[in-house]
Amino acid sequence: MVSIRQARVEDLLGMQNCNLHNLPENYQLKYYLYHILTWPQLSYVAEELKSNKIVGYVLAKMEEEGEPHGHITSLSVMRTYRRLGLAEKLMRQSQQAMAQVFGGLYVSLHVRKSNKAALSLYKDTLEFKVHEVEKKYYADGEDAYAMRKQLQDKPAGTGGKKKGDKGAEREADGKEKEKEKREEGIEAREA
Amino acid sequence: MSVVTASGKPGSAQKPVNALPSKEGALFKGALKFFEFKQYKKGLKAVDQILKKVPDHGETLALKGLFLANLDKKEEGFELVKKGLAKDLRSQTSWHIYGLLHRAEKNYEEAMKCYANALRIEKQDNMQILRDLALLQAHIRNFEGFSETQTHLLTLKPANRQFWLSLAAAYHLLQNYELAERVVTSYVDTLKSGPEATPEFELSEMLMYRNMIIEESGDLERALKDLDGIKAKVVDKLAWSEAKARILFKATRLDDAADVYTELLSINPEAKAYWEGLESSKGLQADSSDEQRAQLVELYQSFSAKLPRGHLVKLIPLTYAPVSDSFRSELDRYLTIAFRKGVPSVFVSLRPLYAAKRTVSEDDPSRAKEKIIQELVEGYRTNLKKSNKFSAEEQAEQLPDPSTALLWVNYFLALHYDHLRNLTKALEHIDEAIASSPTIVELTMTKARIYKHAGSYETASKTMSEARSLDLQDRFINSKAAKYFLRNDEVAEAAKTVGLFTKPDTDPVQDLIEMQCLWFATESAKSWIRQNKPGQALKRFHQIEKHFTEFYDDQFDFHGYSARKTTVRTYVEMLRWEDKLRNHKYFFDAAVVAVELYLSLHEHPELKKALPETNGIGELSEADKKKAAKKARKQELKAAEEKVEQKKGKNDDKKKVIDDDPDGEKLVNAPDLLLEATKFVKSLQELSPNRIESQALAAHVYIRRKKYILALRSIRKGLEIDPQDPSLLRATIRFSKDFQTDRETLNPVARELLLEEVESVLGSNWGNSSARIASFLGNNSDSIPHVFAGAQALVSVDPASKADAIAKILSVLERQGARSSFETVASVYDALRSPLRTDVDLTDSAAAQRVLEMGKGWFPLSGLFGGDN
Repeated sequence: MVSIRQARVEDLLGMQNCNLHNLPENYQLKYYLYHILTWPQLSYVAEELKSNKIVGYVLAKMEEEGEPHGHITSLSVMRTYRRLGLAEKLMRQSQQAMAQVFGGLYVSLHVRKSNKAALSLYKDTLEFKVHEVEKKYYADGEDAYAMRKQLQDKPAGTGGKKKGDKGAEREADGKEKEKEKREEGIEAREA
Repeated sequence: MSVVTASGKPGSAQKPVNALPSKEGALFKGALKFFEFKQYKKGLKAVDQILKKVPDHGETLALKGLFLANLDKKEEGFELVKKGLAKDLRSQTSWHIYGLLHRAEKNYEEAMKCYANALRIEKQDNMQILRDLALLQAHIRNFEGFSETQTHLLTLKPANRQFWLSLAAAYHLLQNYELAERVVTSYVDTLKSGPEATPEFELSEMLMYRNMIIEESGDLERALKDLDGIKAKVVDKLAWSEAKARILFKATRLDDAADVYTELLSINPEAKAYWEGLESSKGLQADSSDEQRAQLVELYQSFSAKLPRGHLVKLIPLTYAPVSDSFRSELDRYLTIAFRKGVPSVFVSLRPLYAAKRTVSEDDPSRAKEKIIQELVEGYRTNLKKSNKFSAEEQAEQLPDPSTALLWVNYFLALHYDHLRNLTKALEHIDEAIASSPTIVELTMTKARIYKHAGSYETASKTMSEARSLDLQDRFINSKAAKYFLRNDEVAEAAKTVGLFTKPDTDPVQDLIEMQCLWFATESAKSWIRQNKPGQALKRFHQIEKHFTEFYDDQFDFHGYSARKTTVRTYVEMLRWEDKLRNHKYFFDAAVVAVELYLSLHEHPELKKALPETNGIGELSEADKKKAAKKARKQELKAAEEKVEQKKGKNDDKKKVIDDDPDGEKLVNAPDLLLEATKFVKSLQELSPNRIESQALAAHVYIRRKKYILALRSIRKGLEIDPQDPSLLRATIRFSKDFQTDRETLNPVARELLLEEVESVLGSNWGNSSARIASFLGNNSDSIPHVFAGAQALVSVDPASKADAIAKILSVLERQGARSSFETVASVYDALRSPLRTDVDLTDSAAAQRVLEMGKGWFPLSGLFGGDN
């Protein structure tokens, strides 16, 4: 039996473990901490209730450039728990928080061109659309579909960035870049 | 390293004597920037340029030391910083640098002293140093000091949000809720509205943080009132509703709480916590009575129409329902829908209906539901084969695609019988499924699992590799294949397999280490132990320990960050989590095995020397020897090939990690193994004190270190947790024996005190080990691990009782072996063949032969008992 709920700090090691089992794009724990301490509302987990094991997760964030929008950093479900609709449920909870808490207008993600199962989930079930193709997005040279889904027409609130907190922004930007690099596979891991 | 910068403005706050000429002054400023952006080599160049002109400039020398320390020249760095400081003891910058160096070395107390010195020197306050000091204070949980520093910072910069929220967090963590709340309120009251307004999210976070403080203060009514007051401004609606439901429940306003939980369920009906909240708010408890359970089932039924796609709303009531016709028909409905849809994971959903303990007898009431599952699904299988229907009834619907349904029915039955360890039946079903659909990964994966449970590790790993070959794109099945290689002690193959998904051009294991992958480390360590390579195993355990240190250090950068981001609720949760980090299952499991390994190395120093490579221990049959030799040759060849390939590849790989202890020789030959074990024991005892393993292992280690008071304390706690624990019995008996031997050598006062304690923990009869063992064996005569431990204890007290001990072991095996797990029987068999796994010699070739024969019957497929291949 599996429960879907918001991720907490104590889930991060389980999420990292699930990610390392399932996906080639991996992150150190600090990157998970950065997500949850910046956007505590956006990440969700699927927890097996008998063992309290994390069997699926969505790790998500907000992008502030241009229109505010959410971005799925990573999503995966253990193969032994597939076809239960867990990925869809994780995604829907996260999307709702993006719109409600952060006024996100849309949500974006990247998916491998060859990943048919994921593509079908995003396209058919969750109604994402292909926004563009990013050539050689992944470290191994594979192309990615950059997909988007509209969440709402206008932001729920006024939003807007506060000026003058340069330190925090720089720190966040530094991490963003580090992450982008990681995904591009240039200099994958933090020194 | 974090983004902490060295103090700015050189020159401006310095005495003129130490000021640099203007060109060098600019260089110095630039060098500080280089440090901030972690460009240490450039920084080093800049300071060298300054030193050419002003070779004795203290601050520049110190700064050079800082760069060197960050360029892997730690000692030289420290020397230079000290030298620089000596030249100019009144330099704030140099003291700050010295503090940074200590901080990097985690000498937090020293670092704080340096900061304090730096702050003492000048009247003018240095914000940067105060900030650094605050980070350290939060890190070492000196919240008293942290609150003082934040107050100081606030007086310097009263508008800075980070200082306000950090101060609130400091008071909160000191449990001074009143002040904490007041600080947040004071800050929120200064916030403007209109175009300059704080972003909604940030205000919302601050208000919810304040509410958290009020809730934790215990003033529930005020917390509720506050929630109503801030509702319009909170954008985190979910957290708001969760808080409301939780506090209403705590304030025993149960009807209102039930209403909010119902609302929450409409947002997320798959959150178990909301259902639990609803149940409790309705005053219902599953373990109280049949009537209550019936009401619970009704409660869930009242939701089912509203949640047609919900899983929990269907599954949870099945766990409460009495075993009845309606249970059977509900289950029938659930199963047929799942099989029609072809859901492979339906078995994992129903696992809560199975008996919690696999070893209970056939007619135990806890098995009633799994029996009905079996009847139903076996029925589907029969009917599907006969008439393409799930049910034998005339009017039942014929399935358009009965073969697919049959496939998932067989898959389910395979998992079902595997779970019940009826492995022959499990294999029959999975083979039938595979025959009809040979390319489905899940099926072959399950077959591998069944072989693993049968103790047939070689076939299991081969089969899992077959499953992997069915979907080369999927990392999950790749990870499984690697895990199964490790179970079969094929470490090189495992590394090669994970390498298909790790970073290209990097050693796979090295990449996993970099990514802090714990499962691979734990599984490899266990394999190295089986292969008698304790050094390699210890390396992996120390790697895991290091990862947990990294996880602890990771919080450092967030001490200031969260307060700037206003996510203080999550920050407080992070601190609480970090404080109990090492109670995590991943750490606990590894630490337990690590301590056991240290203990066996202590008992059997001969294990430290390389033993012949075997796939197990004890004597090998001729066939096994040949097999092992063949395997070793294969591995050698492979290693040679790989070396050549590596040479062909990039020689100039800069990131190549140099390992100064590739085989773990240093770890194995550490001067005091028990002291090394104590490090793990301390984490276990401190953070998992309620786990019997922690206390039993602590007792074992402390007895061997002759720390009798500590050992006794562990035994006392252990007895409170589980007085019948096998390992704890061994520790208790060993304690009595060793203490009796050593008591005369103790100083009389200590002896008296200790004796009193011993009597209070173990009774006045504490010296009578035989009686203790007899009573233990009497209480646990049907459990293999207990009888095994009792038998070992007997021999440890009186070596002449070995025959009796072995007879007891054989007797319990004869009675219980058929329904035990392979691992249980295998560990006993190992002890009968080799003295190396335990501290008493139980080897007996006749008994081993007898277990081998019985094992063949119980685990016909296992490699150990001669079945593999």
